Amino acid sequence: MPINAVGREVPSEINGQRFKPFAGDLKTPPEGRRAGSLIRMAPRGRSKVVKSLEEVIKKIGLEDGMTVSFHHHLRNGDFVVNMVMETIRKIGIKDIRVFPTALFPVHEPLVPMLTDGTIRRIEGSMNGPLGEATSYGAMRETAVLRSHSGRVRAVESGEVHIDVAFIAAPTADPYGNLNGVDGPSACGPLAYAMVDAYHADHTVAITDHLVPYPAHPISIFQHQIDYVVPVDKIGDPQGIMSGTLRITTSPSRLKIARYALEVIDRVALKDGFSFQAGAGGISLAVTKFLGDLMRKKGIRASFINGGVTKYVVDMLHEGLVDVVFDGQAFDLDAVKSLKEDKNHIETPLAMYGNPYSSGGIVNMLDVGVLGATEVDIDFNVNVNTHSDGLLLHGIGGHQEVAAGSALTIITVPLYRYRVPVIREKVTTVTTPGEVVDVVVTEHGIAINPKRDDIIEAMRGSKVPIWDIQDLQKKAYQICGKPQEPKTTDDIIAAILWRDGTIIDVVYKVKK
Amino acid sequence: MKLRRTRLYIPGNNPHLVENAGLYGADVVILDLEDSVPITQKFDARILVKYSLQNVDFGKSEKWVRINGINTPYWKKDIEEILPYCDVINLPKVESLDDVDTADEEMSLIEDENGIEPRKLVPIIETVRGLKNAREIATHPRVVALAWGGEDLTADLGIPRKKALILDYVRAEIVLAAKAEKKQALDTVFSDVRNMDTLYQYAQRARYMGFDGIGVIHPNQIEVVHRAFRPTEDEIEEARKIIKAAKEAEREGKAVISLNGRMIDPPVVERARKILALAEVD
Repeated sequence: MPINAVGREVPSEINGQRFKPFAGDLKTPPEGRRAGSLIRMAPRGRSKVVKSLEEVIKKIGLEDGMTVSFHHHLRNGDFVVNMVMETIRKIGIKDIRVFPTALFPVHEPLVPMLTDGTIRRIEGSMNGPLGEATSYGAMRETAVLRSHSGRVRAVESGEVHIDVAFIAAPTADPYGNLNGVDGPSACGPLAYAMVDAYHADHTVAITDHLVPYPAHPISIFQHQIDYVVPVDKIGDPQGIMSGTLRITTSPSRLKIARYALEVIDRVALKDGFSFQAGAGGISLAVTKFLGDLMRKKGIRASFINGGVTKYVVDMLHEGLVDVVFDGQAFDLDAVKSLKEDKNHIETPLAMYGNPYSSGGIVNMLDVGVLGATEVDIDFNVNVNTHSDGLLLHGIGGHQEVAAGSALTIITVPLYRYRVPVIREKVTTVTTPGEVVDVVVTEHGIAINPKRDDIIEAMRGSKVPIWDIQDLQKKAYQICGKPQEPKTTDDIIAAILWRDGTIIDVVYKVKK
Repeated sequence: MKLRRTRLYIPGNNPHLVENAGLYGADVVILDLEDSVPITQKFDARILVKYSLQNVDFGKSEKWVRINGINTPYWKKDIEEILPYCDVINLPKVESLDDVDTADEEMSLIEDENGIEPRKLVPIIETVRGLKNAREIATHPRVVALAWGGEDLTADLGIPRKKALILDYVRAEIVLAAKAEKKQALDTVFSDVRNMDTLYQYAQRARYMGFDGIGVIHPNQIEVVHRAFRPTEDEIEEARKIIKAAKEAEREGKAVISLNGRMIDPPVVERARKILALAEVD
């Protein structure tokens, strides 16, 4: 197997499909033309409303081996994936390729379908039980993980062709106009589903809030939706919305946030700057502290790209930022703002960061603050696996934000549960060190040596600055050298870089 | 004199809290072997504290250990095990100069055995009798500061802590006892970790009462207390003017310093120096 640019041995073929090894960010130019979907027609008078999922699946003619897609705006409150897959299983359709943007613990009912012949593989993020089952070898074929934008690229380039897109729609009208800001299962934007609606051969909206024509506002338009299936409930609001997220009270995490803030202040903070917000504990704290600092210094941001929360929305409404780009909303304040504020803009994932497009939002980011499960002394970052080798998380937007931002900061504790987070080699490379600038821990920061400008900007700061090797040694000194994960030689998942090359693979974990 | 604006209490039986204690910039870290450690864990905590003092990086924080009181069976062993590795012994429930002498004797013994420099001692006044004897206690050469504890003292008085009207007097007595001996006065802990505004007011009040610092029980309180102990811009400006006037008087060989027609006494100059020194910290 070839060795790629981050020193990982990777296969040339996954599930019978050819892939190139990772050669460095954007070192593998795109080829060919954008892929299309089946051309359909909808004559006047033909109803799109279908009574049941079983009926719509039969109408479409879903067959063994086809690919079905889902979005994850309903997160851990989603009912739609389980509902559709259970219907497919009952009908007896086999060998389905499931192509979600992400799956969550709520989707655990899919685990037995990995072994009963219903699902042959999943190509998408698997958070929790499905990832764990896959790690132990439950999936017949190899899982493929892509970042949000890498997934868009895969669809647009034809690397993945979607036969049927099942789109959970918090609001729909009978002719297929959809939005996510109204209804009992409101989730905010429908950004993840837009590329599926455009490129799938067949599209089905599933809703628990059917409103008279025309639904408005419209996120996904009627000409892209073939069928509308009303159901009792598409999700559990408790799992969709997190409620107002609380900033961490952990003193060590707050310390990390304050160090990150100092880096941003010294390197990037100026009128018109932009940053990527997130919903993790440290990210929320950084967003909040950044807002406080901007207020104090009289600085206004041009845009925040989110991961939108109340903290971001408050900054928009206070006038600290001109525009919020929204790919995902985490609380009801964000949903309300998206509905009511014209400067809060829903952005298709293709615009967010597809590297093979005419330019995404991530290219305009000044600052991206991201998390990790592990970071190594080459600044490589792992967000997918734990140090025991289990595949438990998706990539999210990590790759494109890291690659696009002028300043990429990774915020991590030095160790978790006495397992070093800063280590000699990460278990899995998700994001290469070449696009990571600063690693921030509660003990201090490490700056990528190629960023002389940041090293210079941090001169005189009270933030402790370390060589990353010394941070790693400190972690080992406290926790001891971490054990290697116990794995076999069987590859259970491929991690693709945003350009579709293989950056790493995940091996089967021994029970 | 060392800065002791914040004393961060860390239970000596909690390895996770102990290993990160030096990260937060507290002037003092107190590893506690007394009230936060159950009797069944006294032995384990002592060993943990002993090895932590030797192996954990406490940064710039002064390393204190609150040992068990001399009315318990644990205190001698506490001193024997941890004294060589800490900077200050924090002795609870001190009631008299005799109590300090008793601890001092044991400390001297261990210091001689190990060939180490004398360690400092900060008694905690927590009883009515201790308060009555505070002025005498402060005279001991090993004592560098007086601290006090509200819960035990109000319990000893038989009054509820929150309604106690006597505490301002207690505070004043502690400050006077300490300052008369040129020692530091340290206020008791602020235990509501959620209310940072009230903490700020509490710490600022302590400062204006004459205390040099307060106790904290959560790292998030440290920055707030340091802010409260930072002199105000007006105070800094005034102090700068006084120091400038003092330098001019010295240069011109004048015995009397005056500022805006007002005579400045030497203690005022000294206070101005302290204010400027404190303003430069952080």
